[in-house]
Amino acid sequence: MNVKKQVTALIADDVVDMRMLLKKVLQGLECNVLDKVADGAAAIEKIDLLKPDIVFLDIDMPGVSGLQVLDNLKKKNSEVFRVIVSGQNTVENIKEAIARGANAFVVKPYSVSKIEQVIKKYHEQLDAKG
Amino acid sequence: MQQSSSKVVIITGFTLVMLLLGVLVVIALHSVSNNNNKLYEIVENQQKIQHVFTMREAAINRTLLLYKMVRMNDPFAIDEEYMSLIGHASRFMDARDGLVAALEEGQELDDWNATKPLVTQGAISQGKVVDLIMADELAAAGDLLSNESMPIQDQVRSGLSKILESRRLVVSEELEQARKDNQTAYVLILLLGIVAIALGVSITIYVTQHNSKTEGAIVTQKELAEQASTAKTYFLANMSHEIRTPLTAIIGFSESLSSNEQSEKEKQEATQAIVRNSKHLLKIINDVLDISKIEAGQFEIEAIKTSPFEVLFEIESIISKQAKDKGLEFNIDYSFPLPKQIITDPLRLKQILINLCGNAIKFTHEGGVNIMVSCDRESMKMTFAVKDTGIGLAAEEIDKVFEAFSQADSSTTRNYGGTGLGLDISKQLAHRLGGELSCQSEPGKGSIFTLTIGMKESDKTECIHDLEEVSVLYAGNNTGSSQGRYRGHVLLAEDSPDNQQLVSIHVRNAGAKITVVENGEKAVEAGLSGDYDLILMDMQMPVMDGAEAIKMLREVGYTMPIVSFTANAMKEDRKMCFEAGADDYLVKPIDMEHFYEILSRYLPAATDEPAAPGEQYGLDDDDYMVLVKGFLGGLPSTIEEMQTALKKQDWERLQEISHQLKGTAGSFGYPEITNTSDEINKYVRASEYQPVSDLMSRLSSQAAMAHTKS
Repeated sequence: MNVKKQVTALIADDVVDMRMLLKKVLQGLECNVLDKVADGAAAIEKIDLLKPDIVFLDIDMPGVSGLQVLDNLKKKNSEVFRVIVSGQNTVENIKEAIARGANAFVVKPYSVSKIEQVIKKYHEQLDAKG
Repeated sequence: MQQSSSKVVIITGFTLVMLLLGVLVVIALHSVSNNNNKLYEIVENQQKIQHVFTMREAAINRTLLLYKMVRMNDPFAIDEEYMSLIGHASRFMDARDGLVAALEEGQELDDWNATKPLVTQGAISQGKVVDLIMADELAAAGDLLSNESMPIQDQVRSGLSKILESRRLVVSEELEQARKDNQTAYVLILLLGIVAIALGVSITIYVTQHNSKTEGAIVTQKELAEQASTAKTYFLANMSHEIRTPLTAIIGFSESLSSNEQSEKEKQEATQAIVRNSKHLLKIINDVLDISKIEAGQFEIEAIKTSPFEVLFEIESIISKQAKDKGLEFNIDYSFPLPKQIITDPLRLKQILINLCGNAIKFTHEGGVNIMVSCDRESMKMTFAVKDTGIGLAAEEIDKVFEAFSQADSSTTRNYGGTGLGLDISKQLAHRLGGELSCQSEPGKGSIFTLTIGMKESDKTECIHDLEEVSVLYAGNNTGSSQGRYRGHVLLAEDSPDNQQLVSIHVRNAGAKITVVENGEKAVEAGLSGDYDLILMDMQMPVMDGAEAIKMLREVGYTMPIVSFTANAMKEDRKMCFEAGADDYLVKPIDMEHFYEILSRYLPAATDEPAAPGEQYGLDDDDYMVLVKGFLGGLPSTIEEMQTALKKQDWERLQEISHQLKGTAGSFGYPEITNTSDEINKYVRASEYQPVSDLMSRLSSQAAMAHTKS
């Protein structure tokens, strides 16, 4: 395996505490958090601008929801690795997120291990792509 | 196939013999006609020689007579001699005519043509001499004779001699040639004759032998088929008995359990009997399944990197207990160096060794059992010799023990139990692993069953040189099945309450925590929400089955170990588990040895220090505490806002805040706040507002508690 370059991430969540916690967790996992945004529209804008490796999306955000961001990314054939972070852990939600293009689903409250697993999956997917 | 090939041999062989005989006949005929021609020529030449010889003799005699007559005085005597002279002349003429008639064109004619004028000239000259004699002028005749006639006759004689000589030469040449030709033909005919006879004889032998062989094969196959059929019938009868016996025990003891008149001790005994008999029944079913799979050619063998030592340790952990229970010794002797890893099917290798060791223990009453492990790098074979000091086998029994459906003696089954299938399975498996299984034994002294397998070392195989190296290498691994040695959290997804209970008991006994859900959907939700070290997932469940649940978990980034339960040990089922994303599988009914092995593989050992509270987030304590304080600081105003919303019946706002609180509280170590918020959120969303105010007061007291706690 080649040396992994530092993973860059964007966080989208309307709750400030959540953004801060996730940023700390990601930094602990040696990820570079490029920015944090509070709604879907800002997320779309920042993804285009900053081109992060991974985007963490809350579902319930004012205006454009996390799922709508997924739709937008799908339409643009974006290569960003999409992670839904949500308190709604029902299988229907998960299924819908997958159908709309999520690469991972993290249920709130999460442990650091969950985020770690997501990063691991991102690397695996990257390796699989070659 | 064999039949048609022998037909080809026969047809080709006979055709060859006929061809050879044909060639022989042609050569013989040719040789005979050749000889005839030669003979004819020789006879012809011989005739010519005879004619020429006669001519020469007559010519000489006439000259001699004339010479005599010239010197005679008596006219009567001359007349008498004259008669002889005419006689010679007629003989000469006859011979000459014969020669001319016999002569052909070419060389022979040339010879004669040279001499012919001399003959005529000589005859005229002699006629003149005779005339002079007849006229009684003997002196003149004598002169003419010596001066003219005799020189001519000399020439005639030499000419004839020349012809004679050349003819004799031709004849001797022809004779020599004929002799040579005859010899060649003779040798050729002799050789071909010998070849033809040899070919004919060998074909006859082949045909005779082949026929007898085919007939023999047909007879043996028929006998074998009859024997197999008898054995199968016998096996089915035996099987039926074998299945009925444990079933009778299971049914009987189960019924006895339902009556209330039994003591606790009796009940325990009954339970043990049920378990024992059920296990035996399962073993029989597995063996029969294995056999039928092998016979149907569906038995797939894997080739994976395997540590022979790991396999042997497992064998040791299983067999040494059995041996100990029976008061027997059990040892493994290693002939170092041995490869650290080989390519084989570990499951099958284990199956064979367990079978061999199990048998050895079963048939040994005192002494012990040991496995001698060695390897031969030249033939790339690894050998496991299982030696016991048991009852042993007589020579005629040794071959029989490897046959399916037959133990050495039908009474063995009753005395020692078992299905009589194990060794047949083992032998077939050994073949599939690139080796074989053989047996040496002596009644009363014990047996050695020697298993060899092809070892196909993996690249750069390291060698183990002594036992110390082995124990260092596997010290951490050799945990055995002792209980209470693990910690961690297991999620069990299983719909059957009995199995839920069974697995829960064993997981708790092992020292780990367990959470139970009853279908795949709940397993996904729980798996994503909680932190589990291991998920045990039944494959067949209502709502969402195990495979789908595993697939979904893997799809959304769940990377922790998942072990599936499957009722079928078939390779396809296992494949399905692995394809869905499981790391391992357990076969139902659960084999406890295997179950603890799985726990030991995936759960942290109890000696490991549990993680400190702050470490959960991978943050140092200070950072974490800052975040927690921030959360707690905002908590009173959040609660207040919720209460305001409740008062105003602003359900939308209440739903929003409760949702956010649910997401945050747990992350900062207040799961109870998360749970209550979740409940509020659910009720509001369902427009069931009645329980909300109660929940709201519970939430505010939980929030107050959170403050005091910090």
